Parts: sequence; structure tokens; C-alpha cells
Amino acid sequence: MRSILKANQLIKTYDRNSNHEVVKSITLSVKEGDIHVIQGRSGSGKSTLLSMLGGMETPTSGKVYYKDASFYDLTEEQQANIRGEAFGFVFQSLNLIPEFTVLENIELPLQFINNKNKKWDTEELARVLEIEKHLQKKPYALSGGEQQRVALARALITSPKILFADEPTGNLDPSTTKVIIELLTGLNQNQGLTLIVVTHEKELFQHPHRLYVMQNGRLKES
Amino acid sequence: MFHFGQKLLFARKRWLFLATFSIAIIMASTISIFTSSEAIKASLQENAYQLYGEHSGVLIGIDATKEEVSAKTDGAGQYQIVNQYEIDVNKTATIGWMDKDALQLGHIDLLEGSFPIDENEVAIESSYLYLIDPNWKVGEEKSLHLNNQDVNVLLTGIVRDYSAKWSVPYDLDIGRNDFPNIFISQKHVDRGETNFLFKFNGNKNKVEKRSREFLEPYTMSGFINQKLLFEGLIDFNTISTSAFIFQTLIIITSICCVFTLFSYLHSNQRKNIAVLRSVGAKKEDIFRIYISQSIIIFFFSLLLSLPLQVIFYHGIIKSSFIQNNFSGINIVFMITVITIWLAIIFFIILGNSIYSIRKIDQYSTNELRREDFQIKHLKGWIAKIKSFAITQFALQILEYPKKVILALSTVVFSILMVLFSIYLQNESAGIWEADEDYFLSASEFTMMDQVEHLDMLINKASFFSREDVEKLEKTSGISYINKTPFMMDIHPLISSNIVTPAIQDWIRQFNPEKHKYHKQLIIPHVKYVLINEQNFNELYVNNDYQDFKGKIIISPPSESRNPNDSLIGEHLSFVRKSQGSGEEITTQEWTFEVYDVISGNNSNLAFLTDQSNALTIIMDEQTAFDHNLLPGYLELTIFTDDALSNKDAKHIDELIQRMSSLMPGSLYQNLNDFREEDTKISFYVGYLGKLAYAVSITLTVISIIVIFFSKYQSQKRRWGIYLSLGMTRKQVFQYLILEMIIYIGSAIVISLSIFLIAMKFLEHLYPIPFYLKYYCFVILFLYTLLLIGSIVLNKVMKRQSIFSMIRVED
Ligand SMILES: Nc1ncnc2c1ncn2[C@@H]1O[C@H](COP(=O)(O)OP(=O)(O)OP(=O)(O)O)[C@@H](O)[C@H]1O
Ligand SMILES: [Mg+2]
Repeated sequence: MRSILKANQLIKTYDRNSNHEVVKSITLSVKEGDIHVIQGRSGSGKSTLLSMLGGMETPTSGKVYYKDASFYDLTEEQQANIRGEAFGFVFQSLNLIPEFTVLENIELPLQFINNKNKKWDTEELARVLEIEKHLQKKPYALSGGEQQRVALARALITSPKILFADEPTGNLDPSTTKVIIELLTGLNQNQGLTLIVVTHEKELFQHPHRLYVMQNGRLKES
Repeated sequence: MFHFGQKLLFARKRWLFLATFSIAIIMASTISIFTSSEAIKASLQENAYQLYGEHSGVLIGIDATKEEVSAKTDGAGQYQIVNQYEIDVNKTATIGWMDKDALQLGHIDLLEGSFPIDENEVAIESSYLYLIDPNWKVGEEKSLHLNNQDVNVLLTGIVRDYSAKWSVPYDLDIGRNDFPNIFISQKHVDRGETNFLFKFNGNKNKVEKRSREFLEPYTMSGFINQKLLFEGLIDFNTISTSAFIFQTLIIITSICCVFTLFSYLHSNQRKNIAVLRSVGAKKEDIFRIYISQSIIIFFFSLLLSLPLQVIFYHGIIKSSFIQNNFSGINIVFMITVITIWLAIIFFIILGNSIYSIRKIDQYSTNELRREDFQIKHLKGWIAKIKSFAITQFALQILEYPKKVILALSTVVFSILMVLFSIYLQNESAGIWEADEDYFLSASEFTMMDQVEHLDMLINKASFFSREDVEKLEKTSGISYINKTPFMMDIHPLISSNIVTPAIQDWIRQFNPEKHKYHKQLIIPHVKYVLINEQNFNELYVNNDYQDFKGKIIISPPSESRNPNDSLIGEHLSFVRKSQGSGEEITTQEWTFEVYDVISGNNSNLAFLTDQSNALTIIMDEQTAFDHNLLPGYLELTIFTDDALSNKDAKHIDELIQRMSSLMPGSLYQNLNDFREEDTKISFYVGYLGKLAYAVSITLTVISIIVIFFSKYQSQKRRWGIYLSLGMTRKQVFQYLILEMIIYIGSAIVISLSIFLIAMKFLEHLYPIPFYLKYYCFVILFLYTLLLIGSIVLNKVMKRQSIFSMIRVED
């Protein structure tokens, strides 16, 4: 199978003066339907890498290819389309919009995409993630774990091709974690959802296609 | 805590720079407006004192010592009229002395020499000296005929002309209640009635009030220095008022700007403060942080404002009044006022901080830490809106409603400030279109009494003699003199059987009781015009001047129904009542035939201008003088040639000045100087306007930048989320620009409404469209600013990655 996402010698330096590379020349290739898990110590550059892969951060050098197109060389419009329709992103800091209800937050991405026939029914997705009771509440009225599931729902509502998830189970208890992992593996198996997940829990996925460990900006397969 | 506040401040260098810079501008502009207006006032005051004397009023012929007068006033000088010297038949000079205080109060200066010390020494006003003997030099003796004997006197000094410019009593009597033209020494003078110049300190209104109270018991023997108060210091109010208006406008605009700037700082600091409180900082500690920050900003600004002040100050002085006179400035007063202005600015800064602490106190520490703590206040109705675009837009605008209002008022006030400074500048420039060059009036007031319903003169008439005026007319460089004959006491009478409807209307209007004199109706309010043969020939091309001599032409007001009612051939009587040196009243009567009746507005002849709403009687000049109808002229308006050589101009100026210098209580106006003074004031106001304009524009630019930036900053995270979910940057940009357009648009609408309403109540010479033209420029400017701002914002936005927009919390 051909790769859906490729990274070629990605380098990121935030501070132009110090030349400290947060991500040091990472090359990787993700096939459609793969599950890639990235582990690593805090500050090793996992979130930075994930955001570059997910189209949220321009690399200092190197390229990211989505289906053979160099993502950051595409027009602004095309990039936005890919972000909206093909990618789903769960941020480490969740980033729900506090003024909107849970329902509005989940359906927010639909505002920006052209293809409006969503594959998921919001109610159903909420039920699967066990947040259907909270749909009319504002995010601040939810617990951390509930908020995390809202963020996941928001990333999945458009039925993306690739889900980027930065610590999606960070605030969850083991049983809820299990529910979510089952959902994600199910989507992976049934719909071919590609998963790129950053986590510090070693055993989150039983059989990931690739398991990386990030160390000082370098990626090692283990 | 001081250290902590300092740290928090310096972490935001760009903000700190903007804040200190704006406050420095505010300080510099208010202070330099104040100091320069004080300097200008001081120089105006010095000018006025030179012209009219510094005394607030004069007491004449009272029985009091100088100590008594001094005790009741803020300063007094003594003088006395001792004698008169007859220069020629119709000119006498007044002899008297003044003590040192009086000379000083009057600002009476010597052009040459010194004031007399010994008997038989004199100092003479320059115009009088010229009349007595133009060749008499200081240090030379000359024999004068005084009190029927010849006295040898030594000329010790020449005094700058002053007496004719000074205010005189209503019942002016040369040699009794005027001022010395020939100064003698204070020694060896007969005791008798003495006079005082007195002074009160304070502003114009206070001086006037205190003077009136002081003069009350001396009703008939004192008067106020009207000319100083009402002509010399007249510009004071304009200057003080416009300075104050601009200072206030700048302060109001700056309050808005400071609040905008600081609301940004405080909303950013809020989280830090919450953290501080969570680790145990007390409210007083927080308070100390804010105070220390206010102090730092204040002193930084003060430092930065010093060079700006110098620039502004010199700009104002240079652009308006060249004289830069500090002698009259009260330093203590200046420092006090400057301190007050600075204190106001400081308290605006501090008050703003305290206000924001008070607000912080309303939230629990825990709530403060929740980043979304303000969101709860969003109105329920927004939740009901189903359209994402509208919801988003409502969120944008309503997120910080107070900030929006502040921003809006900053822009509104700036626009208003610009418009009003343009208004003040244009309106104060006035419209001077007339081309007359001098205006002379022989006496500003004439006292009349009613005798058998006729006005009778009771003080001695001051007038310009026919010879003097004719001499002036023949002087090269003078093109034309409009003369008002001294004929206020000449009353035309008409028999009821010949009165025409036009004259009837006139009488009904001004003599409603239809008073009669010896069975004839008195025609009130007549204007007399005297003409010569040349004028007559301009009026009647084909008629013979000799036929007109000894007759009159009547020109009824133009709006009268039938101006050609024939009075031609009828006779009108003229009567004058006068009082001789005793108490007896004499009556003189004349009769003249009506030569013609002409319509008032059909004439474009210079000597007949502006007759359209007056009843005019035209008479041959020679006849009028032959019949003793007038002693001379009351008012002269003098027009000079357009291409006047410098020599001629100087000669004319001297001639005219001399004519009026010899006439106490006369009014002399060099209208060119007058106009120049007026332009100076309008330049001053104009400069203030421009300064206020520049300041408000700068503050607006700063405010808009801050609003733009803080708006973007505070919503950056949300924009980042939208972008991550597939919104394009173009859309984000459109939302932001739309928001700005709405702010500026509403600022424009609000300020335009305020301006139009204000214009309804304000008097304005220029039509409203004239100002709307400027208004369009302002709008254009604002939108240019918006365009530049959005280009910059676009650049900033492109540079930032979505990841950092979401992650970085400033
Ligand atoms: N915007 C930024 N500017 C400067 N440095 C940054 C920025 N974002 C991240 N870094 C730095 O890059 C390094 C990697 O950060 P990153 O967030 O990728 O780490 P991480 O592996 O996700 O850590 P964690 O497990 O704690 O989330 C860190 O040292 C961080 O300080
Ligand atoms: Mg991370």
C-alpha cells in the first residue's frame, strides 16, 4: 500500500539564534490504515513533530507529503481543506471553545468544510464516547476526562483519513481509556482510519504498526 | 513588590514604549499649550499696558491722601492737573505732574531725556511738543506764555504719546479731568484737588467688579480704565478659552487612550495576579505592584515629554506671537498649574489601575485562573443564534464590551477634536474683507440731554476740523475718506401736511409717540452725508451743481413703499439746541428746499454706500459749514492707495496718529494692525488646533494599534482552533477586518452626529459642507490607517503557525 503521509528530514528550531533543534531531521512514512505510536519523555519534541505532520506547524526545513503533495507548498486554501476534511487533530491542551456548548464544539469543523454530509451522527458519536449527557453544557462544566472526549469527538466528526492525537487518554481512567482505544481500533479496522498517536502509556495499543520513541528530537523505532 | 511590578512591565517592551510615548505626548501637549498660552498672554498684557496703562481706573478730584487710596486698592499713583497751555485757538495742552507710582502704573515712558525735577522744567508728550515747536530740543530753554506772562522753561524730556489712547471720563473737560500733556515737577505745585490712578489685581472680571465697588462712593469723580479692560485684554478670553478647550479635549482623548492601553496590560496581567494571589499575595501587595508600575510609567513619560515640550512650546510661540515675554509670568502660578495637570495625568493612570484591581477583587482566586472566566457573562441570546458566522461575530465584538466602548470613544473624540480644531481655526480667522485702513473717531462717547424732545450735546464736542481733514484728503497716498459729519444734534422737522408715507413709516418706527417740535414732526435717526461738486456730478451727470447749492436731497430707506413721493420743492426745517458756557439754552433753526428724493439702494457711489436702511439727507458740504450746521467731523474711515510707498505709508501713519494723539478719548484704529492682531490669534488657535490634531491622531493611531493587536491577541487561540479545523486564513482575516470596519464606521457615525448637533448650536461663518469636506479627509485617513493595520496584521498572521497560535499564551 502506498503511504498516505510522509515526512522527509523534518527539522524544527524555535529559536533562530540558538540553533537548538527541537526536532532533528526526522524521516518517516505512514501507510493508509497504519497505527503509529510515538512515545518519549516530556520535552523531547513529540508535540512539535505531531503538529508538523498534522499541518499545524511549518517545519524549519524538510517536507511533509500528504498523498504525494508537499503539504506546506500547497496554497493556503488547499491546506485548509486538508486540515478540515482529511485530518483530525486532538491537541494535548484540548482547545475547546469555551463560549460554545459541547454540541457546538463537536460540530464546529463542519462549518469549515465543503463536504457537509458528515459520516458520523453527533448524538451517536457522543453516545459512543459517553458524553451524550453533556451536549448542551459549556466545556468548563465538564471534567478533564469528559473534555478530552469532546475534543476527540470534534476530531472525528468529519470522518478524517488521519487522526493525530496528542495524549488522547491523558486524563482518563483505565476503563474509559479502554472504551476510547476500542473505538479508535474499530475505526482503524472498519474504515481504514490512520492513527498517529503521541502517548506515554506503553501498552495503549496492543499491535501498533510502528512504535517510536522520541529522544532529544530524534525518532527511534523500537 | 516594586521589583516585581517592574519585571512585569519590562516584559512587555513594545507595550511599555507605546504607553510612555502616548503619555509623554499627552503631557507635553497639555503643558506646552499652557505655558505658551501664558507667555502669549503675558506679551499681550504688556502690549495693552503700554497702550492704555496698567491702572484699573482713575479717581478725579477727590479729597483723600494717597495712603488712603493705596490701602483700599492694590496700588495707586497720584497725579494732578495744574494748568493749561493754549497752543493755538483750538488746541490746549494740559499741564500737570505725576508721581513715580503713577508714571509706573501708567507705563508712561520717555522717548528721550528725563522727567522734570526742578521748577520751570518740563517734559512734553511728543505730539504736543511737535505742535508747540517741532524744533525744541531736550536741554533747551524756551519762553512759554502762561497765565498772561512769559515763563522760561527747560525741556528735560520727550514723553511717548499716551494720553489720547487712555480712557477718559464721560464728561471729558480738557484741563480739568484729562491727563497731563506737559509734565512739570511734583514740587512747588499748588495744593488742590488731586487725582489717582489705582490698580486692582486679578483677572479681568474680578478687576472690573472690584473697581466698580471701589468707585461706588465716588460716583461722579471716577471711572474705569475701559480701554484696558475691553480693548487691551479682550484677546485674553479667546486665548484662555481655546487653550482650556484644547487641553480638556486632549485630556479626554488621553483618558480613553490610557484606558485602552492599560486595559490591555491589565487583562494580560490578570493571570499573573491570580497566580500571585494563589501563592499568598495580599490585596495590598497587588496594589503596590500597580502603584509602582504607574510611577514607573509616569516618570518614563515625564522624561520623554521634556524634549517634546520644548518643541511644542516653540512651535506655538513662533507660529503666533513673535514676542516671547516672560517678565509678566507668575512662576509660582505656572508651576502650580503644571503640577495640577501632571497630577491629573498621574491620577488617570493610577485610577485606571485601581479600577482594575477593584474588579479583580470580585472574582475568586480560583476563578481568575480559569482562562474562560469572562465567558459566563456572554448573553444567552448569542447561544440561540444558529448561524456560525453571526455567533462568531457577536463573540468577537462582545468579548470585551468595555474595551470596545473605550476604543470607540478614543476614535470618536479624536475625530471630534480634529473637526473642532478646524472649526475654531476657521471661525476665529474671521472674515476681513473690507479694505479700509484706518478708523478714527473724535470721541467715543458724546453726552446728550433731551430738550423738548431734541437731543442736545452737553459735553464739549471733540471733532476733526474741516481744515485737518481736507489736508489729509490731499495727502498723497490717501485715496478716499469717508466722513461722518458731527451733526447728531441737528434735527430735521417736517409739517404734517407734506409728510410722505415713506417718512411716516420711518417716524412710526423711531418716534412712535410722534413727538413734535413747534407743531412740526421730528424726523428721528437721520444720517447726514455732505457732498462736494465732484460727488454731485457723479450723482447727477446732467444737472448743474449751482442749482443744488443750499438745497437738500432726501434718500428714504429702500424698503419704503414709494420712494418717489414728491417732496421736491417743499421746505424742511432743521433745529439745534445748544448750551452755552452758562446755563442758558440757545436754539438755532435753518430751512432748506428739497432738491430731489432718491431711492436709497440705487447707488454704488462710495460716499453713499450702505444707505439702504437709513434715512439719509444729502447736503452740500460748503453750505453746511457756511450755515454753521457742524463744527467738523466725528468719524473718519480712511482708505489708502493700494500701491502705497513705504514713505507715504509712514507719513500717513504719522499724520493720522498725530491727529488722534491730540484728542483725548478719541479712538484710533489702524485696521491693518487690528487685522494682523486678529490673524495672530487665529494663527495661535490654528496652531493649537494642529497640535491637538497631531496629538489626537497619534493617540488614535496608538489606540487603534493596541486595539487591533490586543483583539487579535485575545482571540488568537480561537482563530488557531478554527484554522486547525479547516478555516482558511483569508476567512479569519475577513472577520477581523469586518470588525474593525464596524468600529470605525460607528465611530464615524457617532462623531458626525455629535458634530452636526454641535453645529446646530454653535455659530458658524462657514457652511456645514465646508466642514464635511474635512470630515471626509478624516474618514479617508482612518481607513488608510485601517488598511495599513490590516496589511501588517496579515503579515503577522502568516508568520505564525497554527500550533503556536494555540500554544503560546501571552
Ligand atoms: N513555540 C515554542 N517556542 C519555543 N520553544 C518551544 C515552542 N514549542 C515547544 N518548544 C520547545 O520544544 C521542545 C519540545 O516541545 P514539545 O512540546 O514538542 O515537547 P513534548 O515532547 O510534546 O513534551 P510533553 O510530553 O511534555 O508534551 C521543548 O523543550 C519546548 O520548550
Ligand atoms: Mg507534548
